[in-house]
Amino acid sequence: MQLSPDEIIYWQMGFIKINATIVFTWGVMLMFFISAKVLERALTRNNKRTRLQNALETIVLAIEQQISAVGLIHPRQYLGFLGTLFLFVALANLLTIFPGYEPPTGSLSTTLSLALCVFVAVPYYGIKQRGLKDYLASYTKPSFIMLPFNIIGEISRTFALAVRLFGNIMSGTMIIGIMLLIAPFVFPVVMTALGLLTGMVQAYIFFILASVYIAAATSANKTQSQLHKNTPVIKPSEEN
Amino acid sequence: MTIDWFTVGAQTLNFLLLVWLLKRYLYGPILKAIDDRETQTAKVINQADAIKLDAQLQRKMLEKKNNEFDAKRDELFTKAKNTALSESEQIIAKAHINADQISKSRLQALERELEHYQQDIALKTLQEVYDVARKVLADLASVELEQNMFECFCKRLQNMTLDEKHNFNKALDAGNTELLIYSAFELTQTQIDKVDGILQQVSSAKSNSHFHLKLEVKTTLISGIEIRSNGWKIAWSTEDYLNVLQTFISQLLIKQRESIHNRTAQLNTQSHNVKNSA
Repeated sequence: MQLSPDEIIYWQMGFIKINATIVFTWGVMLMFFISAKVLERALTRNNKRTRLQNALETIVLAIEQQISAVGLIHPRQYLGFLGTLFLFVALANLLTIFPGYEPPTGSLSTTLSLALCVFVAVPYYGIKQRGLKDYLASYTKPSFIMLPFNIIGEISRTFALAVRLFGNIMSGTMIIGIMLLIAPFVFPVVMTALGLLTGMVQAYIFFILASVYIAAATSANKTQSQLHKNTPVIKPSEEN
Repeated sequence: MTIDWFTVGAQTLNFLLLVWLLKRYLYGPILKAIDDRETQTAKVINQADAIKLDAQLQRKMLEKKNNEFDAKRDELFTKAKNTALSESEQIIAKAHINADQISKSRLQALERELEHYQQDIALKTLQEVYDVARKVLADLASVELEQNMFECFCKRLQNMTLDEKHNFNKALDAGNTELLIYSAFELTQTQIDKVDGILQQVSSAKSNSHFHLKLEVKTTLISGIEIRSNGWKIAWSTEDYLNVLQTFISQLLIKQRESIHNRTAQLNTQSHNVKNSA
């Protein structure tokens, strides 16, 4: 039994190889690209919109709203990274409904690469918002003793992010495979439907956790800045 | 469950490429389209607000104009009403005056007509009475009747009042006065002598009074005798009785006219009272 699509190798030359993970990822990317090109042609700027445009606008605005709900002040700034994260994971998971499809998210390499992207994006946005010194200083809060624990936490949560997604998707795929062997009728269909739900939930969790990490890295900056300027902090309840 | 670091790198690159692709071909165009539409909507809303504001201003202006127009209309209406009322009062007053004048002139015409009728009736009555009397007397005329008439005249002469005697003697003062005797029938010599004698007795008080008699038959006297001289006259005939009758009728008509006048004046007063109360 294959635990990961990485093991399905189509072409290899030394260190370089093309496995099912990469191929299906390209397939997902191709679908996104084609959809985007189709939309670009049909895109209108007036009130007469196509169904595809309406659907995509709804999805994009929903993602933007979610980013904003997490606490990020300028959601469009993070839409490219976080939105792609969600859409990629979601589509990669949803396509499991097609037989023969191997979800790239069922590969620890893919989830780890996504987690590493988040691992890099968090300090990137944190430094961008707060500055290098201020961001690095946040690792010593509330006291300097917390520095190693903060660094460990930063690394461990990245791996947790990768393993959580990988585990869920891989286990779902494995359960379906096992069920196909034990009870090939009806039950795999139910499990596939359950797998779709799990896939969407995992995509949402991955996206939300990444958003929360970035928000934590950037909003701390805001709070610190406000404290330095002696400006009153507006509580969420007061904002409403 | 192993980590293939080449796949990790490749997937990272794939993901970053996908981020760029989606930003370039999906998020960018969609967000731009949304922004454009929102801008356009905001522009339309602003235009609508401007139009609404303009409409509100125009509505206020029209309401103001309407109010002014209503006030002006009310003012003109009141003015026209007052003018019409005063004109109406003037016309009614004029009509009353004209009606009074017409009524007055009609009353005058009626009075004239009434007077005319009265005169006409009196004249015709008298004429009829004359004719009837004349016819009756003519039918009854005989020597005896004429003699009786003459006797009556003689008694009349003998019983003259003092004023009549005075007037008679005054008429004789001119001397050689001619006394005209009109009679409805021809007098006999005896009758003439008797008249002469009576007149001589009446005038005997004055020695210088001379007169001579002149006879003339006058049928219009209606069975009577009359003596005239220098504005003096004494007579006895049915005409005198008829004259008395005419005088009586005239007085009766005058009384009747006065009662009509009083009644008309009463009616006029009543009508004036009714107008004033209206």
